[in-house]
Amino acid sequence: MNIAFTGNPNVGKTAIINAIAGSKLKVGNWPGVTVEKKTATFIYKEKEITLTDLPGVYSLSPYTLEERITRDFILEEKPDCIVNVIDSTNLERNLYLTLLLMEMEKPIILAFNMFDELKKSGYKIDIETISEMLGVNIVPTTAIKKEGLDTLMDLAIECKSSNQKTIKYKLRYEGFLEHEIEDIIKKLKENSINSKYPLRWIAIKLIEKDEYALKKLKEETSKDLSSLAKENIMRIEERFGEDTEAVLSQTRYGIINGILKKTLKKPHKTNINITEKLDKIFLNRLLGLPIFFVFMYFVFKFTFDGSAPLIDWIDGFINGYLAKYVQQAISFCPNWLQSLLIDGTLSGVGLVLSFIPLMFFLYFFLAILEESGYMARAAFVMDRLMSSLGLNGKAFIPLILGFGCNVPAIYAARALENESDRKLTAIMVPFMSCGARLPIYSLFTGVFFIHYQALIVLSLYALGIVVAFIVAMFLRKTKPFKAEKTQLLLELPPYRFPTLKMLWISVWARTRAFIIKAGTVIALTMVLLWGVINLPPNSTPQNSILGKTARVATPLFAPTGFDRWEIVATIIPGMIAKETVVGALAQTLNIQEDKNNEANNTTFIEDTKEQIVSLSNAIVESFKNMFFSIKQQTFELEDAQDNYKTKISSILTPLQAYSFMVFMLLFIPCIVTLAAIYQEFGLSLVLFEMALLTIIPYITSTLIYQMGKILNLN
Amino acid sequence: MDLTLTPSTEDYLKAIYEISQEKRVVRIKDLADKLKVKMSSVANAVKQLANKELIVHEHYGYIELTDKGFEVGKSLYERHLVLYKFLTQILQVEPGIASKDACSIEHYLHKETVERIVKLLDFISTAPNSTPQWMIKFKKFLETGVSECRYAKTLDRLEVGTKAKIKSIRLESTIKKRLMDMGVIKGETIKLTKKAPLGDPIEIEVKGYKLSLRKKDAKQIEIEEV
Repeated sequence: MNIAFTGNPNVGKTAIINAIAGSKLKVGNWPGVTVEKKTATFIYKEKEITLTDLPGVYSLSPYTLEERITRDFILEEKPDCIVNVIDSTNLERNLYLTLLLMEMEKPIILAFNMFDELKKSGYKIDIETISEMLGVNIVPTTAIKKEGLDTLMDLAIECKSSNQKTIKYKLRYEGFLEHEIEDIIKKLKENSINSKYPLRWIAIKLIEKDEYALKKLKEETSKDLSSLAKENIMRIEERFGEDTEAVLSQTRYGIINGILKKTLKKPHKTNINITEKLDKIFLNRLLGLPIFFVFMYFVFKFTFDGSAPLIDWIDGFINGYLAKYVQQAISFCPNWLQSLLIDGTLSGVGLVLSFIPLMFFLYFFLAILEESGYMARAAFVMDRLMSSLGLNGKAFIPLILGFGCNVPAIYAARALENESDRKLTAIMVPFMSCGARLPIYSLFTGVFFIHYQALIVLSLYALGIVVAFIVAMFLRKTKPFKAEKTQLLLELPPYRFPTLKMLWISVWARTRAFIIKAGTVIALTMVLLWGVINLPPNSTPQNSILGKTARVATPLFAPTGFDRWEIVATIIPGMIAKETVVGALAQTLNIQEDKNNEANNTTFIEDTKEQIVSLSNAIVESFKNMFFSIKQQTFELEDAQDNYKTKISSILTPLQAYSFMVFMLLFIPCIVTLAAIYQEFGLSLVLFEMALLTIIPYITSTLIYQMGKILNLN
Repeated sequence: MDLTLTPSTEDYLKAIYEISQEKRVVRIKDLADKLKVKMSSVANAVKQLANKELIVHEHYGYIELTDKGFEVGKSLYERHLVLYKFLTQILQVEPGIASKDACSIEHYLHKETVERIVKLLDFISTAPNSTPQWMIKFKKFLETGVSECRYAKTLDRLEVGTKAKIKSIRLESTIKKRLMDMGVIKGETIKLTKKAPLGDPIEIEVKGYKLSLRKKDAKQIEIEEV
């Protein structure tokens, strides 16, 4: 059977689902959009249960994506039971959604969550009477203590059968309104409208002038019902002196008030709660912004410096240790096959795995921000600054993370409320110069601008930001990226302490989704790119597919200044990861890197021991980086090696080198970023990004090179 | 033939049209009564109209409109009606004065101006709410001399820590609906709890929770301090 969970945002719905489904939880997206969909299938009391977590919503209007998803799911998928999770400490607003759900006339039960908080704050509540007045079953729950969850599940399974009698009891609205609703139902019957939707619900939607419902009804019955309720609407508006939408909202809130007046007794004194105390500091006029930046610094530092030693370890484990023994095991194979398996497949898998610590750390700290309630404050504090750039305050977080690595930044865009904001932020992220692009800057500035190294690198970071905002400004004017009108109408939820177990479940579910969905794309692309770089078998950089293509393509790059095939040929490896550009350059320029060819006569046992030691070292290092070091490691410049200097300076001028760095800054950052965009936003945005991230760097490099030539900077 | 009429002949033609709608026949005397003029003046005007082939008139007989005369008379009458409506319904002028003034202005207005007024009336009458908000407010303004628009306090101007009651929300329907769904409804008491470090957005307490909204939206929410 299917059970759907719905409720307002921040009511502890995730906590309930995590507690019920635990490790069975799967995270994905609703088809075609970036709204997270969580499902779990498990056996409970010998029944197979599929649980779906619907997006958190305040209403069921057709105006937001989340609300449309929830509404469509309930009406079209017809779950066997809807569990409406409610924050007991804020019944008034939470029950509004309940009334909207009840209008849909589907089996429903209510979970009064955070019930312990309600009792602690001295409220007296009569759940029995609320249940009777509404005509639905109510279960008090406290998700973090796992209280009431068994009862909730038992009732949810019985929902359909046992609720039959209670569903017949219909909540009645104000007399005049109800009369008009009846009149419309009569008209619907007279017009013999046969719909899968309940008639009363249709009537209410007609009164509300709900265009999405009208459209759906037209598709279903091929009748235009928009004028059916015209007279009723006029009568209602005349009687109440307000538009029908307002009348209905007020009626619903009126009913809730009536119920709560009888059943809820507020405590005499309300003491200032922890949220207000914390907000006095976090949203302080003077301290608000500095505190936000300090938090951002720590999120950045913890995510990147904390994960770096573990990433290095995984890299060494796969490409050093595993590769060595795999090679020994397959040494009978022809060279090209060995290369395919090790350089293509194994290093592809290694690339995916090396992102696991990063994803894990990112999701962990994002989850803390989100679950604690600070994320909404981030939007509140930063809105003034970011809205002048046409963005939501929360967009600051993914953009900042982008300077470390674009991949987690793409996933961090999830924190934004609106689809168009999420997409736009994802488009801007790749222009943030990530840490992997730094070795390229190190090399070229080391060769050409040794005295102005920092200044040149800084100019590139700045250029990336400027380009990102110009692109965003233009895209905002197009339809798919248009700003939503309800921007920043958001709840600032009470601060709550996230439990480790809850964090663990959602972090693990999301990391797993990355490995499965993005990982497959990455591994496949790696094999493909391996072919481009290494085929035909036993080829040199000059006569591989890559070298030949680069030679053909080189004239295209004449306007940008760096029209040398050795340089152009590094663009494709640069798509795998920007770190590989320097290595690829060594190959095309025939530079011998000083490899410390250690005597490779260690035994398997010694190697394994070493791996274990270095893993424990990495974990220690990770902690040290996070808590005992101020140094920020993501932005360190390394010195260029001498053997590069002569070769590179013989084929490029400083201006051409700068043009190339600009190209590398703005070009497709890496396949992992593309895979992340694919996982979150789908193929169409990936293709759009690929086009954008090819055209923009080309144009920008050309402009810079040509202007430089005019100014005689060559 | 020259069809331009003098203001007074226009009045005669219009009156003939009006009488012909009420009675079966039109006589000189009816005209003199309606326009409160002497019979001789009427006879003179009737002669002119007959010359322009707008009416047919046998000596001392009945006056009859020709097809062309009917058309011109009708349009003159309708023009008068439009102006009368404009004066009474929009400017809220008393009917007596409106009727007189309609008679005086109608001769001097360009065809296009009249058409515009017709369109304005049309536009207002097809508005979704039977009487648009601004007209109700204008009426109130005429009665009390106090413009609601000028003195209404809006949410963005509320001070931190003070409470107020929502009077009306003037936002576009998508945002308005969203606000109402979240509990910001007419008559609800809210409290402005905080302003962001940079002054915008603001945070209000409504229905026991905190909601943030931008100042430009808050500006469209009318309040009444409590």
